[in-house]
Amino acid sequence: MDSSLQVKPANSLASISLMPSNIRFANQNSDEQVVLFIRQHKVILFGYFFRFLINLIIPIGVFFLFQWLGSFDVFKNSRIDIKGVYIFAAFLVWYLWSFTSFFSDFLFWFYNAYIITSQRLIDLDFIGVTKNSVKELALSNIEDVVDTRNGVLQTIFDMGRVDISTASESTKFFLNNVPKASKVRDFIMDMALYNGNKAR
Amino acid sequence: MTLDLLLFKLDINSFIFWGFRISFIFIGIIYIVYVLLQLRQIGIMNSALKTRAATPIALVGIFHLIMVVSILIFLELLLFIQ
Repeated sequence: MDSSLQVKPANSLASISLMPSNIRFANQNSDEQVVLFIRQHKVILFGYFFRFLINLIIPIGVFFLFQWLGSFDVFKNSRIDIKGVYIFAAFLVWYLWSFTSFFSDFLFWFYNAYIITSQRLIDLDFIGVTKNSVKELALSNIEDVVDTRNGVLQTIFDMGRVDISTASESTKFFLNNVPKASKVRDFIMDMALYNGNKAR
Repeated sequence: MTLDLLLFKLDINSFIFWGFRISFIFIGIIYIVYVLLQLRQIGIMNSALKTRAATPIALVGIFHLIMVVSILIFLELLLFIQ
């Protein structure tokens, strides 16, 4: 369809894969083929990982800062009994929550995916532990596709937001932090035109 | 002097101990429910999107649940049953 969209061979953690053979989805028709699979750019995942690393360092830094300032000495003559075990427990809880937070961020990145098949566009949204949604759009119904790059990160890493609109005003799809946004926009429009011509 | 008397009357250590213990159990239960819901969401999303990474992610989810439960039990034993 579009030879300009050059992507690396598909793997399970790829941000963008053209004609991936290892990706399927629920209720896939027998004559339907996954043409393009998109997730948010990997730099978003690196951002989450960087935050996780910072979270690992914070308690050690705070502990040494408190010790240097002599903050623990306040409790020496007090009735309040601050034992070392409480500090250890606080460390453990902090690291546990840091892992949980990183795992949740990873799931958010991994399951927020966009699948373009030979017939439709599917938007999988994993919003939180109590909310998820799956949206579908027939490619022949696509009217406009717009790509926008906003901010330093999106400019540096060539990612952007792709807005897809249909004739119906209420139906709006947007794909955020998409790698190679302008090529993805072009690809989606080509697919829409191809499917629209087939439908006529 | 007055503060010291007040702390003595309240038995501040017992107050901290029970306050801490009750909130720990309460937050622990919410945490476990959160992780269980997360595991359920992984199951739902894995059936919606079928990739090769589905099994490893589900395994990490199960490991996460085991880790949360065991660390919370360990902390309960460490902090409150001494």
